[in-house]
Amino acid sequence: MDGQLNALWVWTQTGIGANIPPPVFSVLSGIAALALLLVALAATRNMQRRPGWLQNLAEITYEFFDNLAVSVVGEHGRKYVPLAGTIFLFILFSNLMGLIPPGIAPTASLNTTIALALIVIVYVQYEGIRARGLGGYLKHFARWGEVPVLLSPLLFVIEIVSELAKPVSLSIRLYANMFGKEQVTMALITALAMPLFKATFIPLPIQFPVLLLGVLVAGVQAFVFSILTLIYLALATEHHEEHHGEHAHAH
Amino acid sequence: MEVGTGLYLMGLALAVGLGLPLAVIGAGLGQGRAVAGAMEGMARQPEMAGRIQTGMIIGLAFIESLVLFSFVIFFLLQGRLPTVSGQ
Repeated sequence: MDGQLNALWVWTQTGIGANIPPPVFSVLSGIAALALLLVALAATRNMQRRPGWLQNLAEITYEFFDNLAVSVVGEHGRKYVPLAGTIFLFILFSNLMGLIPPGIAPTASLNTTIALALIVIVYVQYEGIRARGLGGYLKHFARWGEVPVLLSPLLFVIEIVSELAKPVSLSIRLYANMFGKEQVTMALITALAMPLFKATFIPLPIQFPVLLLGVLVAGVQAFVFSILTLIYLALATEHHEEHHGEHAHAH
Repeated sequence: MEVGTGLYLMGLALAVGLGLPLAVIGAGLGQGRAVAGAMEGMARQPEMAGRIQTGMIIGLAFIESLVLFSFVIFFLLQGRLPTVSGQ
């Protein structure tokens, strides 16, 4: 009974009880996506010239990412706004789901975060090839023309490794943040709050400061993920723009 | 218990206990420097505060992710610690 009560409390607070099978996280991320879809539909259906609060919120969010994309990627960054904005909103919704008591953040599972990181990285490679062509894309890896020829093969290997490290660091950063928050919450409950409750019958919310920090982390990590998406896209397509600039000067 | 096993468990316990704090010390110093630099920049040029803040948050996230890598390692190692029975 004691152990069950303990497990129940931990579960209602963090969602981490026994081993959660991966399909649960899939369903939860589906719920997050659905909630996002409904909010987006509610915000854009019946748009007014004088916007209501929801339309206003959606417009502010879009404008924010529009400005961000233009300042990070440049003028051609406008077409990446939907991707970066969707990633931000999806991760934000997912992270916040973990704060509603019986919920689990879908992003507290490596399966979800690796999927997100792979989407971003594959799209970055696609955009890189599209902006430079396959040859230019490979040349960019070898820094062809920027360094001595003999150094190029070495740099090619290093660049490939750093490109492979991008999805790893993206996914583990998000996963470890959300998973860590839940683990710390659970540790505080089982190590402090639960023994205190058993001894004195005072249910003190000792984990509360961690949950407050969790709200901050939810927003910051979502923002970091989407701005890193934009930065990777900018790195993959930057030279394309510079060449255009040179051509423009030459003409 | 064999000497080898004892040494292994001792090393494991030290790694679990000290790995994360060491990472936190380094990252704390690094984040302190980053925030100090950003604050100085903002004080000198308040009109650039927005862009400096964005850059600072990205930098902080990078530094923080290093701690989180060691946090993941901490969890992997923690799972290998045996539970102590008796006493």
